[in-house]
Amino acid sequence: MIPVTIIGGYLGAGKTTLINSLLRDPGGRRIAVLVNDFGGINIDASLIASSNATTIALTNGCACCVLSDDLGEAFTSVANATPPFDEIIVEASGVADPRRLAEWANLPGLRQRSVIVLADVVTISDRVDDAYLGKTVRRQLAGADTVVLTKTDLVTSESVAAVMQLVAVIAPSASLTTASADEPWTLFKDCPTPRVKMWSGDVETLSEPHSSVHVAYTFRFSRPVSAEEVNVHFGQPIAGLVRAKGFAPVGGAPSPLLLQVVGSTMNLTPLEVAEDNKQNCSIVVIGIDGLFDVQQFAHAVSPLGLVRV
Amino acid sequence: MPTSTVVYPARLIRTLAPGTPEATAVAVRDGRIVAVGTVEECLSWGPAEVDDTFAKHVIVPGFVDAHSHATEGMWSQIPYVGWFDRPMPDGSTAQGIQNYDDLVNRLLQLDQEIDDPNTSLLVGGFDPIYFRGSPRLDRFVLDRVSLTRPILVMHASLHLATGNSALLRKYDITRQHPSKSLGRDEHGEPDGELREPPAMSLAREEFRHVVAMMSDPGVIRFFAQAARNAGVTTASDLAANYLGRPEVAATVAAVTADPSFCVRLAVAPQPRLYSGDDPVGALNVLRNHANEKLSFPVVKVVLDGSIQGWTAMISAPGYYTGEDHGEFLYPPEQLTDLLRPFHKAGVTIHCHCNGDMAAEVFLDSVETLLRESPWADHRHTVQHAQLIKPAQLHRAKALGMSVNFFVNHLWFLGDQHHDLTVGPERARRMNPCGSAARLGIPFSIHSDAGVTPIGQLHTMWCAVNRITVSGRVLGADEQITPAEALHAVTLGAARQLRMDHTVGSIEIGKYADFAILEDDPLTVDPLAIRDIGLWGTVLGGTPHRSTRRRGSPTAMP
Repeated sequence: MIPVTIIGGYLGAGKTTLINSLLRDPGGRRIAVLVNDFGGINIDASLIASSNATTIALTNGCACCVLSDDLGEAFTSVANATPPFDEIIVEASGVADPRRLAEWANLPGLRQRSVIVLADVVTISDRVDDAYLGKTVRRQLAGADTVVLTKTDLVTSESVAAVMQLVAVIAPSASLTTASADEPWTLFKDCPTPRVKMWSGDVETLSEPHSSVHVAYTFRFSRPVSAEEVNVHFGQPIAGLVRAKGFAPVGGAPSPLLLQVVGSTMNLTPLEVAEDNKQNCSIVVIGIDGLFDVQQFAHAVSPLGLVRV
Repeated sequence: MPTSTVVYPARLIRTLAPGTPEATAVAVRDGRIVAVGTVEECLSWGPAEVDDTFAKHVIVPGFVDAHSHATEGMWSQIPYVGWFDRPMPDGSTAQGIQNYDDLVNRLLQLDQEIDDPNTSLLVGGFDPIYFRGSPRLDRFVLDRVSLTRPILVMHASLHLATGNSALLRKYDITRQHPSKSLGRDEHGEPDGELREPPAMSLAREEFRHVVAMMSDPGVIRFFAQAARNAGVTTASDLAANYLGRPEVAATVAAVTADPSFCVRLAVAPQPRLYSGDDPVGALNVLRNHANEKLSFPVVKVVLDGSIQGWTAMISAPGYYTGEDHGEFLYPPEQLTDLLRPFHKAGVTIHCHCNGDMAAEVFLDSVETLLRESPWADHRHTVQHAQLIKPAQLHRAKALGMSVNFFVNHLWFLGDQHHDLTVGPERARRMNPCGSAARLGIPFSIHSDAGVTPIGQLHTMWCAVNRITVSGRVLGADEQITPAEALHAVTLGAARQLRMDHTVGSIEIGKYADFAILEDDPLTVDPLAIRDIGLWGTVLGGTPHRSTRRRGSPTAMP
């Protein structure tokens, strides 16, 4: 079954940039890319084997197709192409809900890999509160398996931290990363189980994902810490904790590290930000309402210098 | 060949033309009107045959629907199981289905009409919004019809479908299926509901059949017959997927050129982001296929969803009950770029805006385009405009725009809007025809067929009375007069389609397109407008007899 990855996010989030880099360097994979229009697609003329109004075939075996009204036809034809494609990548339109688009990957011959939603850190905070687009942008983020923060080199680490906190609340179970133009394929990992309930038509019994069941709190580091210390406190299950993410001022590292905790799995990874600022590192902690005891948690992490904001 | 003139005397002719607003005879030659007035005045133009067929009738301009879809003709292809009785093009009426027992009985009947046990039974038009008190339709209800023949019930929204157990078996849709778009019971077993096209597509053959049907020439022919039975002589097919597909235009041109094809079809292609570098050129390619009964006068874009599907873009405080799933179909920032080439080339743009936020985005775009490229007679039209606000109507007026209201909702879904979707206050000012009339905004009213059935007498009745199924009057101050309603379904609609120089009124030089009524819609009791009998139409001088007695889908039997 051919894995299908959906790339979503509002206009300007960097979807086309990512797709151009995947097409430039498919790493030996035969990929089919479905896009809304060819406007931003930038393929070296020497790589184009043939093209018409709706399809560009590349000499490396990849293809780029424009999505028509008949999505079923588009997915069926890439699913049945010979020789078969190794990967199918779909660029959702700026207003589409990528999680809903991912449902096409249940057609025979296809399987869902993941939903990747790009968020431009410069504009996302305004977008999610926009009267016209706020709900659309929040819905995109909430449906993501992975949220990729883009344009982090244009803002301070404080701004990135603020965006991370925002994203963590909107999409508590999504993993979070930053764009890496050099290694775009590292984003393409299987998501174990798609989690978001689908909404459809007039079915109103399904609630907006996560809206009512989660609580979020912010904690600030009051001193530098070591990776071992962090591991001691987060490397074990914490009752009611869904996720924690943010920056940790890890001693010895040149800039704050991205801290992500899911269950009892903890990760510390370097993050590309504009400025080094270990002074104001904070994390956001998401728990299940009624199960997660924030006071008990605050007490448990106080040896780390974590203070509730 | 010598041309002949036919004079039709009538009890009354409402011309909607100044100077001679009322007449008693009309003369027709070569498909055009040559005289309007008295029989004597008509005969003063020279020798003519006097045809008394309509001597006891009231003739009005053939109705124009500036927002319909040829998909109304799909009821010729799949049996209808919607809530309301629905007229069929052949003159029969499909009875409305208002409980599951009736649904099962109808399906049992259809099941017996199919010999091959492997052939699927496909029906459409079912709408769960009217079944609020009942459990949702599931496979167990449909299993009462057949455990072996696959059955698929398409919902009216075309966003949902419900299959029986045999259908789920055919496509191996089991508890293990990964789709999140399947209705499931509390144990995770699929209950038969397939939500949204990705899941509906799992029923591959049945869904392909529905999609293929949409562009079947037979569907367009049946649509024309449905229009004729409603007194409509010019119908639109809005947001049709034609751009870049001249072969489709050629096929439809051949269908419409047939002398028996009984309506003028105004196709409004939908520009898309992928319409290519020269979308206006693509439109002009289509226009090369035009004939007297096929034109491509305007383009139409769809900006948001539907109110009854909770997908229209509605501003705060949002929906009255249920969850807001409002969606833009284009990023608002891209709308102006999408429309610019058409505006600059002098192509009128219609834009589907059910919610007020969608209307605001379209108004913004038109204002931007007009600042860039002033155009006095653009006729850009807000389509549906169901929740357009007073301030937006003022803006539309100031920008020289036109509005086409979806007043059929007031009857078919008025109670649901009042009780469920937008609540009492906004339900009372939905489709504000009265405000538009007071402001002097050019407006029309429409059926959006096949969403609601085509029938301009019914549409007029809705705008004049604003009555719901339960008997509520929604916003009496937004009612309009029968004369305003008649104007809206003739000249008003023709202007929006840029066809008012050829259709929409009975005046010299225009096409001889008439609706032949048994009574005068301006003097009958306003509550009886939808019950007026309808003989049929005259299209380009050729009479087309209706296969029904009345033109409204909701007329008293």
